[in-house]
Amino acid sequence: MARTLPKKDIVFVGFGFTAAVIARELRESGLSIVGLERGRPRDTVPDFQGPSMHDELGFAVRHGLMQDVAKETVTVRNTPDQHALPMRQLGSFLPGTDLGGAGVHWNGQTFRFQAADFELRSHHERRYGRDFVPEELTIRDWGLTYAELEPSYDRFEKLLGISGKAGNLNGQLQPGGNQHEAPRSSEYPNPPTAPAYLGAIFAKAAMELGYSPFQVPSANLTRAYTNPEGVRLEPCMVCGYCERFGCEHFAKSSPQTTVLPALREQPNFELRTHAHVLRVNLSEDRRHATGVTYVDVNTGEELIQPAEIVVLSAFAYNNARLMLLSGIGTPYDPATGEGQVGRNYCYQTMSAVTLFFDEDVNLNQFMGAGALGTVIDDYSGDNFDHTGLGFVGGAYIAAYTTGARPIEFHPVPPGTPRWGAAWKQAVARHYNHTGGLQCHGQSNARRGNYVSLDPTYRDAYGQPLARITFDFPENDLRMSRFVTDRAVEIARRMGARQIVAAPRTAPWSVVPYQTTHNTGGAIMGADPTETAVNRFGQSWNVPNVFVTGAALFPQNATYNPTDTVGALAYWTAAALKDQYLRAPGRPLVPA
Amino acid sequence: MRALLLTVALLAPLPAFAQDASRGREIAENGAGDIAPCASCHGMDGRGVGAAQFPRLDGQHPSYLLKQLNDYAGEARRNEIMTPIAQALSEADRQAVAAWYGAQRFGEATTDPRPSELGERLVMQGDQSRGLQACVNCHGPEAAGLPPLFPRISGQHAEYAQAQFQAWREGARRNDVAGVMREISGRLSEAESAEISAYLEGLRSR
Ligand SMILES: Cc1cc2nc3c(=O)[nH]c(=O)nc-3n(C[C@H](O)[C@H](O)[C@H](O)COP(=O)(O)OP(=O)(O)OC[C@H]3O[C@@H](n4cnc5c(N)ncnc54)[C@H](O)[C@@H]3O)c2cc1C
Ligand code: HEC
Ligand code: HEC
Repeated sequence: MARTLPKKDIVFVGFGFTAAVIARELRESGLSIVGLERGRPRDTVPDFQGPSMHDELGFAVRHGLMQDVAKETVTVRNTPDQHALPMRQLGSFLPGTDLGGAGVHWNGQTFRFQAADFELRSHHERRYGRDFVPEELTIRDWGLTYAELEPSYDRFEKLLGISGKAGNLNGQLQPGGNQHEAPRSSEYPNPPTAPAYLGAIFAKAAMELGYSPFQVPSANLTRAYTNPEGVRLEPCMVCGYCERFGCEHFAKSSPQTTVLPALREQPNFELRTHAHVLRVNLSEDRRHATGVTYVDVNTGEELIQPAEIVVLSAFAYNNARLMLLSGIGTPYDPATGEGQVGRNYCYQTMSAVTLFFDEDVNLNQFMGAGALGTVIDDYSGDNFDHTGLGFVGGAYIAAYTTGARPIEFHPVPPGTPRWGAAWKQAVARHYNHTGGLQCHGQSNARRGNYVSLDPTYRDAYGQPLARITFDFPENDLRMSRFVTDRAVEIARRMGARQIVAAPRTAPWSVVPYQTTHNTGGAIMGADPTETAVNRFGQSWNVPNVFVTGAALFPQNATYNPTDTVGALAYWTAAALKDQYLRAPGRPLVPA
Repeated sequence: MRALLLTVALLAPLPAFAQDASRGREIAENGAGDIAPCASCHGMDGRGVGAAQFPRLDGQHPSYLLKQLNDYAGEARRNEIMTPIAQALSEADRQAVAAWYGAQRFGEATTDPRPSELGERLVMQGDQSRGLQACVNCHGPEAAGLPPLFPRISGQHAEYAQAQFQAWREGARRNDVAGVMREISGRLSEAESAEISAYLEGLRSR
């Protein structure tokens, strides 16, 4: 029998960026707050230390900081008629665990979405006509506009201390910044990164072709910075151990380096680590959450944490899974297209172009940072005219210099033997003279892509795993071919001797790594029958349950998700503080 | 701008040091023009004199030594003794003498080990409570340097290191990339930086 603990006002399930931001915003709410995180506590000192943190084998190859798939994983398949199998090694995406979640080992590429992304369907119907969106796509509007979210983006970027250059300040275009971005209310808090050599030759070529290159907005800081929470960050040393690693320099924005130090001092806040939440407990009529049940991972004891408000902040598809496990909302059924929870699971449509240069072009990419890159936004989203192209969406094209670490970076041209002396010679020849362009593309929703509970496989606690059914829509593959061709044109202009293009192809597979930008499953929107939560992230069915993170996205835009994930956290926090607490238990949007 | 400097510094090709060694030795031994021989203060082997705050140059990477000479000449690092010396050397001579001292193997420790719980903790581990990262994160394992940017600090004379902390606090030394050492010095009390400096001098590393 589970032991029942004293009641709290609000409980967070999972403690990454989103939970930390909301808990901090509730500092003056008078609520008693508890955060439950399944993993261990950790901090820059003593957990992320040079030189042990620079262990490429341990952290990049063996995923030392990521979720342990022996305890919990997902099952995967491409289509609803297939039998899903468990992902027994991490590959395509690398979900985080432990305090701070994936925000500890992310890259820090910090983009806003475009205004049109929030009204994806109506925007396309307005611009191109009702028949334009391919039938296979189930893309939707968010029920929330860019203008409404802008102040929250601004706050999240200041919390993180993003280093960048505005391209559009209150409607005025700014030289050097992103000419295609939606209007921003203020400049980035820190100056942009300086281009690496690959980025510099990319920028030159892109400019010659008429594009507008700029530096990727970066959560690897360019100077020392004290954020509005009074937390101090340090400048990035460009060490090249960023993506998949914790930063030993206090130079990458993470929950630990931006908000946890302030939260720890907050009297109404308590954190419990090693607390794995099994489900949200509901009242008998299933219209009210009474708290959560969790396991103390160290002792195996089951505990009930009663609470007035439950926030699911456990990362993308985990939130959908927890809703399904708890019986919150109706499960989505791809056969009928009906149901609320699990639908519109999306990903990111990535492709790459590899550039082999002559030996006198020394790229020195071992000096890198997670978000050190130069990018064009000319082919993102609907930034270009799609008339006659036959697809919706786009991709940004970026030249990133993130580290060229010795174990995993050994580019060789096609046809090179896979081992032996010839391979070694080719690696030596090409290591410092090979770069890549990345096409970071939109992922559109379609009917057959969704999250459900697996009927067969269970986690270490005996609960059904999340089952991901996903393949790339035809539309997205066409988009990827188009934008990859544009990247090849830039690569030619950059003077590469040999160019190898790899547009995205189906089927989606659990290898190799693509991105950890899993979205959807608990999407927001205006229609209570077809979305899991309202525009504030509040469950339509159980109004004292709120959901955070990329689970809310009706489809994924061109860009990396975390700026939008963080902005939505501020947005939900404001709704909780300023509206919900006035009349607790009430829906903020009438169903 | 600081970030720009950082990346530019990182991307600048290393000068060709090797061929200037004999000219470097000449300057070290006999000086150049009106300049006193470097060896009169730093020694031929580069081991300096602690009591006089003449730093050890042995075991330091030539790129770091050259950067310091250039910074003295350009006044980003002001010092009564070294600024005029660096200004009087031609660019080629600075390179040559940096190459010479950079080629001197790191010699023996100048003191017995000086165990210090505080020194070891701050150098090897840092301090979460004030957002201070371990010195070895930049200065390399065992604080033996991580060329070209990050100098060796193990084995350095304590009197000299302590004077540097002072110079960063007072702004006399302003040549550290992105202001990192000024920032760090500001978070250490004088007593702490003295204890760290002593610990570092006794630190045995390659
Ligand atoms: C290698 C990598 C690189 C990335 N790079 C970028 C980038 O450059 N730009 C960008 O925008 N985004 C990037 N991301 C994505 C980014 O990290 C995430 O969007 C962000 O961290 C999500 O925050 P979150 O709070 O929603 O979830 P998370 O950070 O995943 O936090 C969720 C927490 O919930 C915990 N949890 C899960 N289930 C339970 C349970 N049942 N009980 C208790 N706790 C639970 C987890 O342990 C975790 O700590 C990257 C991700 C990875 C892995
Ligand atoms: C009169 C004594 C004297 C002479 C001669 C002298 N130095 Fe110095 N040197 C010093 C002192 C003192 C310092 C420390 C100055 C400071 O605090 O910035 C120093 C610092 C340096 C540094 C910086 C070391 C570091 O770790 O940052 C270099 C490099 C250097 N000297 C090279 C030379 C060279 C090369 C010559 C000869 C051309 C030379 N010095 C001649 C006294 C001298
Ligand atoms: C973020 C990186 C970083 C960290 C962390 C760091 N340093 Fe430094 N340090 C530097 C750089 C860069 C220089 C060289 C600056 C220059 O070019 O003049 C330097 C120079 C020094 C010097 C002068 C060396 C000389 O010969 O003049 C000392 C002493 C020093 N650091 C001590 C420390 C100590 C002690 C710590 C830990 C408390 C520390 N540093 C942490 C980057 C760092």
